[in-house]
Amino acid sequence: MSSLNASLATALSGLAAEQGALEATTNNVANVNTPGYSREVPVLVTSNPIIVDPLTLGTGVTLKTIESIRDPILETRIQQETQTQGQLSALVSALSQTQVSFTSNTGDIGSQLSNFFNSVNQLATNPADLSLRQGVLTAAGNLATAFNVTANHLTSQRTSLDSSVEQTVSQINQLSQQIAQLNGQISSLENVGEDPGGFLDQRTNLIDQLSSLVDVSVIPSDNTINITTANGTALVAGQQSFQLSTQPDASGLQHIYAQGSDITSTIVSGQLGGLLQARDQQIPAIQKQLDTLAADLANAVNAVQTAGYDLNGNPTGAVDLNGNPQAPVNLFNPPPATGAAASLSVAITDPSLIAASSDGTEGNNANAEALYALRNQAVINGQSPTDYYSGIVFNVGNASANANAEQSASSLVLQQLNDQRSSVSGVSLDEEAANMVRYQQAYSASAQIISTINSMMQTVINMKVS
Amino acid sequence: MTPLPPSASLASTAQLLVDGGAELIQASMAILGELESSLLIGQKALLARDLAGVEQATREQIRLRRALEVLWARDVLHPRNSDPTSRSEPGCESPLATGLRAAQLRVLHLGRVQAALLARARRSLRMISNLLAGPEAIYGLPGDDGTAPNVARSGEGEERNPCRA
Repeated sequence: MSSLNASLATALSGLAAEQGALEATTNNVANVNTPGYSREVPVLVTSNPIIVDPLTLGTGVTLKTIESIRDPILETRIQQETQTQGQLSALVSALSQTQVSFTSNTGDIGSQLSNFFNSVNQLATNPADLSLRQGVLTAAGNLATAFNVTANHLTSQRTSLDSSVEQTVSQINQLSQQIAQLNGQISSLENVGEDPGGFLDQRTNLIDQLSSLVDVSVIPSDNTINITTANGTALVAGQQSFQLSTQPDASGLQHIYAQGSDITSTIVSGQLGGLLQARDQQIPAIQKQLDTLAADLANAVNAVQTAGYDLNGNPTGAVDLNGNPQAPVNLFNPPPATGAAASLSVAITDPSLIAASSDGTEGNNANAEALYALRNQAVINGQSPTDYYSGIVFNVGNASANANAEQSASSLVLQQLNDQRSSVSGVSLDEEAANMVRYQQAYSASAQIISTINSMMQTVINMKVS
Repeated sequence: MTPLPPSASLASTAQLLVDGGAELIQASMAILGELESSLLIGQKALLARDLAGVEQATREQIRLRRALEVLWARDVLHPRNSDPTSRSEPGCESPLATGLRAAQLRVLHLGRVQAALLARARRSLRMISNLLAGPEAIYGLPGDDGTAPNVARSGEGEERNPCRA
């Protein structure tokens, strides 16, 4: 038969359990506004009963653990969306800066292209006019400068993105290290049956931060987690973190290495993925188009220029009046195979060397007309210079607008997922208030039982004394 | 959302800007405003996987697109300015025309966001259909009727079994 002492122990277990439960509620309320905090719930279980033949008697309640409420699938989806968000954020930022170079203004390539052809058109009205000839040279110089400025801006933007790559790798290394340390703390607590809720929240927060930087996969393993990049390169294995490093390639751009292997091309998501996409794909593609425009335009203009005669009646081609070979008088310096836009420059300073005439006579403007006709000729990949440039501007704008829209969509999805996480893991003050009353009442009831048992014991003691 | 034909949209916009027809611009802006609201509703429905809501919003967007087409086609057929080469410079646009351009850009952005959300929803559906398909199925895009790829309908396997007597 059960003793009063046993009943007292049972009531005490109730007191302890309700007190523990109330602690969980207190912690929840305290963290109601803490970002990333996951609600804790006490897990109460019945203590092992004792069998006093023929009865099985309960021995009270045990607070088994305090659990943090998490949805692992939701966490994974948030991490994936955070990676996408990070990638798009970096890409949008880079493309916005690129777009500035192609914004219509007085100094942009489009305006200078138009000014150049307009100046040639004016020259055709009076090919002997030196001031109009000077106007063509000035416009050609401005056009070359516009190409140089735009190309240099793109190059410096790539350099800046390159620095960001290095910084991001450094941040990734720091986060990996912190996560590995937390893994150790979480393991230690879990091994002794303690709840590592607070550390788990910290780790989740760090993983979210890491996800925004690089595409990662989180693989649970026993009491810890391993983190790899999308292609399986280990970043964190239990309590050990693996550092990424950067090394410049032959062109001076930083490549990312993990344990000796170049993993640059495998990183496609997160801020690092966005930076690499902009640095290695988007901007080089624009640079290539710009180089094509600069080189083909310069070659086309030079071809017309070297087919005519200057103001003095001398041929500007490779053969002089006597049939002897000579250096052709180009308008633009022949562009190099790569980097034409950055190095485009005017080859002559003497305006009389412009070949406006097609027969050597002073009033002939046929070559100037031919030069002006280039404006509408398909001399650049089957397109006129203006159309080709418009295509570049359209591509840049379109890429930027699409990346913006993708980012907005990603933000909406991420917001929705975070709302879902809040509904699962967030603290509801109403619920906590109800829990508080519940635990308080249970505590009071247990205390009342103890008081009753005490009274009963007094009765028993008094019986003995009397 | 079904996109507006670019040529019609550009031609009519240019015409609107040339004409500066306040009534036409205001009517266009009213429809574009409705389109904007409908796109926002569609986005919410997409995020909530509310298929009925998505369908309703899409129907509304198609109706508004047609309304815009009719409005702009009428203006292109009966232009108030007969010179087709004339274009108003961006700096010389009336405030109404600037407002119209801004509304168009907003709708364009929302349309792109809608397309991005649809692509995501499609990816999610494919993933779910692959999960539901089971190990014997060939993984791929969901069928037109929304079923998982290669999921045998009841009885289909039996009817097609050539070994059956």
